[in-house]
Amino acid sequence: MKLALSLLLATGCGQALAARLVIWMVGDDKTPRLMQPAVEAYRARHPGVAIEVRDVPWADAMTKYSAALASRRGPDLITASSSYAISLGAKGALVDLNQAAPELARELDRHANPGALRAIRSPDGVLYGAPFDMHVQLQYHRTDLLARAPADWDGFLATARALRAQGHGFAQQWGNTNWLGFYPYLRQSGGAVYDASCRRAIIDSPEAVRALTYYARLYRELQAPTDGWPDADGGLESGAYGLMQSGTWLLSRLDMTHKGLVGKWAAAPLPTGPTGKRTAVLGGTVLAVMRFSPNRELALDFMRTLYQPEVTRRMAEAALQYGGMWLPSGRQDQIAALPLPHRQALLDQLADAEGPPPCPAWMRQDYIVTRAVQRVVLADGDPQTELSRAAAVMSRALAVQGPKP
Amino acid sequence: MTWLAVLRAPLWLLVPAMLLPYYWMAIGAFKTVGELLRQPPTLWPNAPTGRNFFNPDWAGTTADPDKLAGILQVAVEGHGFLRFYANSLLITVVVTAVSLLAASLVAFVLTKRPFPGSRWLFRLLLVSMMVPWEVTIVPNFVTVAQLGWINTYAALLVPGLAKAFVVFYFRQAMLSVPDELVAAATLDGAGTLRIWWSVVLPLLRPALAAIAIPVAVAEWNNFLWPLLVVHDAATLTLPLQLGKMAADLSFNPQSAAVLMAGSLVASLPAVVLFLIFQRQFVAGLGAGATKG
Amino acid sequence: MIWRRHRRHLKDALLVAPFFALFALFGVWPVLRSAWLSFTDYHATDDPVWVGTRNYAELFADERFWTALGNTATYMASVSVIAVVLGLVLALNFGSNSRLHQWVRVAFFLPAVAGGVGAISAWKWLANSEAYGLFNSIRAAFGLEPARFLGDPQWTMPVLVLVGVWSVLGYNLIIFVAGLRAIPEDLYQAARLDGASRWQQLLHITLPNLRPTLVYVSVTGMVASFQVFYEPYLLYGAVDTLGGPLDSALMLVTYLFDRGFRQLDLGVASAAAWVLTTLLFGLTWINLRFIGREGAR
Repeated sequence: MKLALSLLLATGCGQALAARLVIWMVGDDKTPRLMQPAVEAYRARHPGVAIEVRDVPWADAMTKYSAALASRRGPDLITASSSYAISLGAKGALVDLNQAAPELARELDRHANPGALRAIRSPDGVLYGAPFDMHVQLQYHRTDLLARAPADWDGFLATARALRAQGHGFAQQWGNTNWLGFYPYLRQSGGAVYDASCRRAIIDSPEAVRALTYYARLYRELQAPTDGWPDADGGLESGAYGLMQSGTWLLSRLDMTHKGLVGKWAAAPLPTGPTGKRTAVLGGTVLAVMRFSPNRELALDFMRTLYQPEVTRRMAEAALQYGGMWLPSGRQDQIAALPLPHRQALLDQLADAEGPPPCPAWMRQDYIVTRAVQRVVLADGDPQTELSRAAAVMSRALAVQGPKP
Repeated sequence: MTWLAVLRAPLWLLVPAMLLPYYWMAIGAFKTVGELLRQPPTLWPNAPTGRNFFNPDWAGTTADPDKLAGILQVAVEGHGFLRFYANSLLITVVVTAVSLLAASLVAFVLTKRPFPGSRWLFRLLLVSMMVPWEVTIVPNFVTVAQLGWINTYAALLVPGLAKAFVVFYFRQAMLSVPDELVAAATLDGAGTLRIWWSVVLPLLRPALAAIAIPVAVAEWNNFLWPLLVVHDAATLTLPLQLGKMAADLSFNPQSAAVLMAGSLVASLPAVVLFLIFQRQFVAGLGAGATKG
Repeated sequence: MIWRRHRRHLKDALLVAPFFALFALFGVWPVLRSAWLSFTDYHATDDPVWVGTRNYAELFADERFWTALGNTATYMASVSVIAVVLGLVLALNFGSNSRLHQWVRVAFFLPAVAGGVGAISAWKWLANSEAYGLFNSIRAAFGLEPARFLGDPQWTMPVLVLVGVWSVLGYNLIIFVAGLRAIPEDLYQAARLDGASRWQQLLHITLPNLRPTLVYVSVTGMVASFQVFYEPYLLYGAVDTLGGPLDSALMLVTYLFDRGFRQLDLGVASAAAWVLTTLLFGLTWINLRFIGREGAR
């Protein structure tokens, strides 16, 4: 019946059989620009191939990819956040690079950011995609209000309180009141979400409680804004905030988007926690091949071209032109050469950065941690109670469903 | 009755409250990005500018807030705002026209030309109206995906053509079509289709006009279904594009200026049409209300 | 004779066949299919696998589902009560034929016509949590700190209810005005002759005669607000969640959308859709029983 209907009703949406590669990238309308050097490099050697790159807004990404999967038709290559890529991979939507392109996988082992690679390798060794770009959390401050960024947790609170007395607050932008904003503090205090086997949640450990207690102080004592994404950069410019946390993408655009900040800001790695570590979350996207793509070999070939050092270097530079940023996660060796302000802060932080917990169940359970964090921050909850509750829910779900996504 | 007037005073305050979003949209569309982010906000643009509609400094993708594309310059995969407008218009007009014509024909046949089984078809329509449409989303999404209609006009047009409640609305209206006219036309040799077209439709004109309005408004504002089935700029509708821009607002307050301009351009025609055709709009959107 | 009639029946049936074909494909079959899918594990990448009532069990065990249900109920009750009472009050006060009143009604009715995404975007900007949002500027004028309208779970329902009432108030107003006009004037005259005060007239003539209208407005209003989607989606939707802070803006349909089309749990989403349907049936039935029959004095 379906076939008859298709014949009867299908409008002409035919796929041309000529060589054509379709790439979807999460980002905004500027994102496809940074793919251009790779496209040009590839087409220089394969002129008969048409390559179409389009952007997918972050908010739409899941819906769009779902529609593509349901219709078995869509892009050949996608970029997606690493946790989403793992869940897609586990649902059977992505090609395993270890099997399909082993030399590329070896190349990535050599040059990619280890944290990023770990985040997209499943426990049974399947490599769902190649680390594409990365961003890490940094702290930013007004240099006319503050000589140096605070170096540790206690120093941070003291500095922020002093600033607040002068009328300049603090805001966390990336991951605010979310597991992503809390995660650095968790890792810096020595806590973790899961144990090594990924079968038990240990988010109620004393270290974790300590981290959440500290995190809650940022809101209770410093009155940090609680929105999911406050206008921290705008606030830095207006002086509403003297200190803020955000991601590395601001390094290349802050001078452009907030002209009042030129010469008045600096970036620094996050303050160190009780263990002496200053771990930040390594966010980023992954480049993956869709399993139903009819152009698999073509897509893998394109990926090999993309990861050549010359090409990634040009891509990183292309992004800087319009105020964007592309830090090649698959070729971390090149970041030190990029012309970025406060580059040292970025390099220092990259040395201590991790992706989300590398357990497949995480994508399904991250909201439980977020909820615990929000109950403490937004509803005056008690950290120990909320974390214990979260750990219980997560462990129970793990016991029932196994450590699968 | 002065105490009544006193009681009424707070009600009068509601009027500007109702219009506040439109006012804010209208003045925001003409403010610069800097002025829009000023605190406290200005109640009237200091230096009204048309940059949010057309920015002469725009030179391609950039993060610089002074060089952002105006709403008429925004291009997604080569398609601009006017394209999204045209898509919405196309969908609205086609779905409204076709669904109304089809429903009126069905109502005519089922009431004036019943055939064996037509009572059951009526009951089927009635039962279907009691089930909320959310129940159909998942299977319809899968059907449309498997038919290969994702990102085509078909996905936006076809599923909405058979509207049960419109059939019922016309069934009521059929009561005012005299049976003798139909009988006379039949005797003259006219087939059902011709009678419907030449006799019934003209008589139904006020009802058609009335029901057209809520159907068109609903189709124009349709959001959830297009959100699922259409992503390519070529077939994107206006609400979807605005929705993307509204989502961007959380991450980038500097996009508010162009978003306000876009909202203004999107709302203005509906507002103008409404002000001109007030009576018809009110009658239409209340259509079926007192009848229940 | 009979043969000719049968031929005519056949031709008429063929005339309505395309409509019913489409109706069957997109209106009838999906209802049955989604009922079946609600008992399967289905993620669109492979075929559905029968799992019995597991989806429903998972749904009822999911805290987020109950949060969505609670939020939807609160939203629906608040918007309904406020929009009906306020709509009636407005209709009583601005229902005349004077030009002034006509324009007032136009102002209230505008959102029903032009209340789409553009208008909601304007609300999102008005309620901005930063100090430059208009609402926060008004607060600053009273010496208050900025409120995180879109980032504080305590403000979520007030914001959503405000936008919800704003959207439907004009529609209710118009319907009530039509209903009020349908009440015969002699009823009022007779009451005035009997010496009834305005208040008594309201209670004993207006309200009882307005009952069918009240029932209609209440029932359709409740059914519509139960299915609210794009206001919470636009105001509180974010990359990782559609529920806002502490899921305070999570509604049944946004929950369904999240489970089905972002997490690709299409079986669970189908189950959620059927739970929503059952609840709506129950709601309508309760409404008709109590509001419809109330006052058997």
